Amino acid sequence: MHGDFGYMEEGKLGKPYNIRLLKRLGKYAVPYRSFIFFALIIAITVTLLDLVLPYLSKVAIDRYIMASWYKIELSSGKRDIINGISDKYANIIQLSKDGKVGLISNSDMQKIDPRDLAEYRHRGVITDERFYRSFIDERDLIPGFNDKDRIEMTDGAIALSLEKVQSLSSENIIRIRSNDIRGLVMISVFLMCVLFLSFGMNYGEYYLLEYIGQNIMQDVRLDLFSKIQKRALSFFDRHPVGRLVTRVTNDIENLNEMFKSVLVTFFKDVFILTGILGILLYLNWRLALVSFIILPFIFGFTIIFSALMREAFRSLREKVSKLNSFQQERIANMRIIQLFAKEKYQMDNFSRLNHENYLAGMGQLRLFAIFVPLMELISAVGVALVIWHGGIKVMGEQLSLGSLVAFISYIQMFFRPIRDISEKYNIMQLAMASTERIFEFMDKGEEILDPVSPKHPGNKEGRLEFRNVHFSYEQRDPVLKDVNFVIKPGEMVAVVGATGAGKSTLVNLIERFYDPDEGTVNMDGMDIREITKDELRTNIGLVMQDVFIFSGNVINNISLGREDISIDNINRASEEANAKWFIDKLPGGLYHELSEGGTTLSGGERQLLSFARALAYRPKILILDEATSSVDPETERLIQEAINRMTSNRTTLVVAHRLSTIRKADRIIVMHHGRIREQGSHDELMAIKGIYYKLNLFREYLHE
Amino acid sequence: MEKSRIPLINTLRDFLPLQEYFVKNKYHLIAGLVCLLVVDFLQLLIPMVIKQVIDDLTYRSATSKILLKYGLLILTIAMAIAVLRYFWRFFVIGHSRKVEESLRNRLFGHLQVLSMSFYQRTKTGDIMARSINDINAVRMATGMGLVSLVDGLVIGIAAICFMVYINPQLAVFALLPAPFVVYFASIHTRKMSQGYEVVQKTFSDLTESAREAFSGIRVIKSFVRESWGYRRMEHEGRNYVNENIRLAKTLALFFPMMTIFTNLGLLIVIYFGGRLTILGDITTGDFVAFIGYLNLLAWPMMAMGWVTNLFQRGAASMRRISRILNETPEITGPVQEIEKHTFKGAISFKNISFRYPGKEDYALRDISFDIEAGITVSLVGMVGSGKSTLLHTIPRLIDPSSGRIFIDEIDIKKIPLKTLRETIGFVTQDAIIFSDSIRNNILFGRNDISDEGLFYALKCAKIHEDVMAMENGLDTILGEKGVTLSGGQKQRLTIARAIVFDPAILILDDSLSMIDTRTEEEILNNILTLRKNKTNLIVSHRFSTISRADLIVVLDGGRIIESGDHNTLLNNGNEFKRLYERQLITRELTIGVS
Repeated sequence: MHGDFGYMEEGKLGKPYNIRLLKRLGKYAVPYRSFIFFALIIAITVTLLDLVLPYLSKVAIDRYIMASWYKIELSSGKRDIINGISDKYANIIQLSKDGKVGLISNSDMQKIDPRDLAEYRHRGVITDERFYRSFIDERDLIPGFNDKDRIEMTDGAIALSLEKVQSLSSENIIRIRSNDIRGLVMISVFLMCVLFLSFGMNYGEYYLLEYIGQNIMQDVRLDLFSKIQKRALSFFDRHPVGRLVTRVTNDIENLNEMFKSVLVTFFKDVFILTGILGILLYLNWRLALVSFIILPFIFGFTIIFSALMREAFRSLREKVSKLNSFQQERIANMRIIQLFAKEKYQMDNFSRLNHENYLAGMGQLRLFAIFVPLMELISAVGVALVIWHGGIKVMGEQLSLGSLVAFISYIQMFFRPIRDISEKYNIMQLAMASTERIFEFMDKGEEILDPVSPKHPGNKEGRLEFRNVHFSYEQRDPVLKDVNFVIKPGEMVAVVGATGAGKSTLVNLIERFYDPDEGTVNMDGMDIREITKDELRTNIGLVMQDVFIFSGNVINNISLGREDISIDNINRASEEANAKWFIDKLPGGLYHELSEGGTTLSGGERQLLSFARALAYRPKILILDEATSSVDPETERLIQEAINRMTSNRTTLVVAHRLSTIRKADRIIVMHHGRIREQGSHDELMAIKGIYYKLNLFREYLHE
Repeated sequence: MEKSRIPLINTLRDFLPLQEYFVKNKYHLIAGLVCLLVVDFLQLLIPMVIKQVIDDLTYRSATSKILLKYGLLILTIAMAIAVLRYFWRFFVIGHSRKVEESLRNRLFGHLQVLSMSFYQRTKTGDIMARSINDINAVRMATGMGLVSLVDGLVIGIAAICFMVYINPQLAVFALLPAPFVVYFASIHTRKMSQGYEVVQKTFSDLTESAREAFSGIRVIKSFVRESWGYRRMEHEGRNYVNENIRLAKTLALFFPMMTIFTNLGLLIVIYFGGRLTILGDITTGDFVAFIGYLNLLAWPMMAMGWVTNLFQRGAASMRRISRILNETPEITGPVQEIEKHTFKGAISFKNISFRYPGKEDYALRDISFDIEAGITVSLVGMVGSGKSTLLHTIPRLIDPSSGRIFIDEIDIKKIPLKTLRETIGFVTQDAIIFSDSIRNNILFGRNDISDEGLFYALKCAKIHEDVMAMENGLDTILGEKGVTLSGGQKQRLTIARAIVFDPAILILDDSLSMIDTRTEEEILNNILTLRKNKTNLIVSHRFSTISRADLIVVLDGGRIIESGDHNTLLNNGNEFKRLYERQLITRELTIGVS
């Protein structure tokens, strides 16, 4: 549904069931356990109500529609048989007034032992002739019943030949069979209640599940998010933003799918299956056992196909993900393809991948096209078995007609949960893969830790010191080698040097985005590893090369959501940063909503805004990583002015690109290949004719 | 919100571009639909068979032999259904997969001919959405949509016919809830899809806020604002949760509502049908068959809303795809093509002006100059002075708004695009590498280059040693799932890609910026030696590079302000000096010297 192709990541699938992961997920469900319990209760009730429906048809057929009584001749035939009947089945036989005949209802016929029944039939004690028993005395209504068609019972009821009854006019049938009609009304009313109850329950169940699922997801998401946010910057270096975003969005979404539609529905399906099996056994255990012949086939095929389907699904996802990343790359870089006139080559590759995708899709389709009809076929085998075997039982009065009908309904009903479960298998695999990835990210313990017992620097003057600092990223080539320098409180130091000389690394170490491999970085005489990162960073204002603008208004972008920074402070900061003039020009001023990435602002305006951001926090130390992009002269002047203002009376380290900035510095540090090679004022450095001098030589040369 | 009530005809018209695939697959499609119809018919027979069984049992005319016969009959029907089902799925859904494949090929093929201006105004993500989501929606409409429509209509109508045949009066009663089902379903489906859209929107807000939090992590950390990031995330997450729960209220209503409506039919059949059975107007078998047909009807009634939605979605998607397919490339080859030609590489610009669409200022203003075949030219100028734009006009990645460009005195508009572009080796500023092997990245589909030539290019671009150090050498796979190269390595690789086929014209658009000075110098040495007497155009900010050119052209604000060789410019030119002073300050200090 979410057309993100990060979703298709690596085409990987997890094992569908992984107890360890499920247990861990379970912890997030704990706060909602009462809701979950409630949802399960509802689910079970809903299932029961679902199971009731076919049974109601059975009751309607057997008890009312097909209501009839068989006559038992008690006067004729052998004494021993008659006695046998009276002894064995006295409770289901109703006697006539004269005691010569008994009546037995069609539903009670099944209670007679099949062997007995065969014998009674054989002896003519029970015939196929059926009667209808009611309390309406037909003689008031209908003449023409002779004694053969009419039996008076001990309880005052009158049994009439069913054949005769059915030949009467509609009104008379209704009068005689009013009991049955009333029964149908009762069933209808009951059904109506079931429907409304089940409606409410279904609604509640769905809502509750969504509520639980969404809330659990939000908890997992925030947990994951805050864990990722705490990671060291090296973690962000190695993991592309897109992938991190996928973790907290799409992967979580997959999890939700599992919570919602799989876990609870899975239980429900299992419950329905057991329910159906139970009812079938209850209706007629012999027929049930016969129809269970199809069960091994159902489960066998389902297991086989699930395995095949899993493979097909995996292969399809892999192809889709290959195709998509191919496409993504080509579309983003169409320029290169066109520049080299390689459209045909790309098209060939594309259509090959596209065709592989088609074939994988067809492979999956073929499996579905076999599996679904096969399941229906097995279901039909079940129905055929029931009709044949059950029909014989009906003929032998061992099974009521209604039960036969119910049997067929239940067998057809049996396949829905089976298909559900096999379909959910795929969701389960997706969700498991996502779960695995989520927990993997939660566990990646890459953090710059705060000291166990942090110290608090007493007087915050803003003195910075690097002492014998060595550093390398990811154990690769050293970036800083034995760096030593001190920045006195209030001093402004400019760092210059080539790309990769290690200038930005200095900034990273001061902010404790990374820790040095050797040596210490000290603030006010204290190793920065001895104070908390929060305390360290609040004392330092950082202005970065690329200004990051958050979506939201200008205030939010300056205060970064800190509520204790008043509007006055924000105004003062933006004034100091020379940002006020353009902020005032924005529609809505400070309340102007900046778009994603701040694209509506010019490069210079973004820089000024970031100055205001740093100033609003009133830091003791200012770290300024100058932007390299050129701006128009007027903005350039404003930036220079703001830098002047910001750096006066504040310890400043500036990674400088502008000559004017460099000139302003009290001291210049020249970095080269990770070492400090020269230090001093502009004039001093020019005098020693070193690297700094060479850098400037180009300029001099051009001036000649 | 493009959907809502669109007449069927309009919806069909949107699918018109797919006509050829339908025509091409017509036999499969017809075979599939015939299978589907037969399956529907057979499915409708089953309740009839069951009816017969019940009646025979009621009237005691059944024998075990008859029952066996019925059982076998059901089995035979089911077998036929199973086989035919396989075929319709295979044919009709398979057709939709074919439509998907062809449409995707067509879209990609078309995308390849569209000009750069299209890519400047269209985000890659949007195009990908067309190719993934929209094509999927079209596939669903032409596959499951088509099947469900035919299946639903046939089953629905036939089931109603059978019911009427059994007992018209009962049929009318039983079908009383049906119009409500259809009406409710279609209203509700629309409401659901609206709800989905809102959820989708909050989801993308959530994604955006996560993206922002992670890309702005340095700011967040340095200002100690993790709690703010968390609050923002919590807020967007909560919105998403709330919208989902709101949607759940609509969704939660759907199936229970459908069930209650369809089961109302069952209720009516039980009461009225039961009554009719008692009265002897219909048989018990009829009664059971009626319930069977009602069950068959439930799905088509519910599905109609879903099917309509499927078609509307498909139509909306098809419209979006068509919008891209209807884009015409602005830059096309000549109508009358010149003969195949090998070029020496003289270029002349005659009064070139260019303005980017939507921009007020001209990026190039009245540029005229000539480049003799076989010389090396250096373009100099600040960021935004028009160097890249000018270079892009040579392979016709963009066409100038006015003016003409000639290569060997032939107007480039008269040269077929393929011939023109194959004459030029272009190395762009950003080094673009595809997730493929190193060999494929350099050869780029050329098969006329020997391994020797390949190695020579690699050596020339000073990437040979790096490649050989890799375990799989030339067959090393690059990119996300393979080896990640450094920026400098990527640049060197793209240089190798351009020089490997020894083009008449080589263009280096500031493409050595991430390579250290010494290596850069060596590479340039190699290139200039290798390409003696071939035309080279080089943009660089490095003085050492610029000084080697035969001709230096200084651009500012889209104009040529000075040109000449190095010495002339240093002696006479003002802007060249001034420009360099500024650039060296801003740039050389960062890049440094060794």
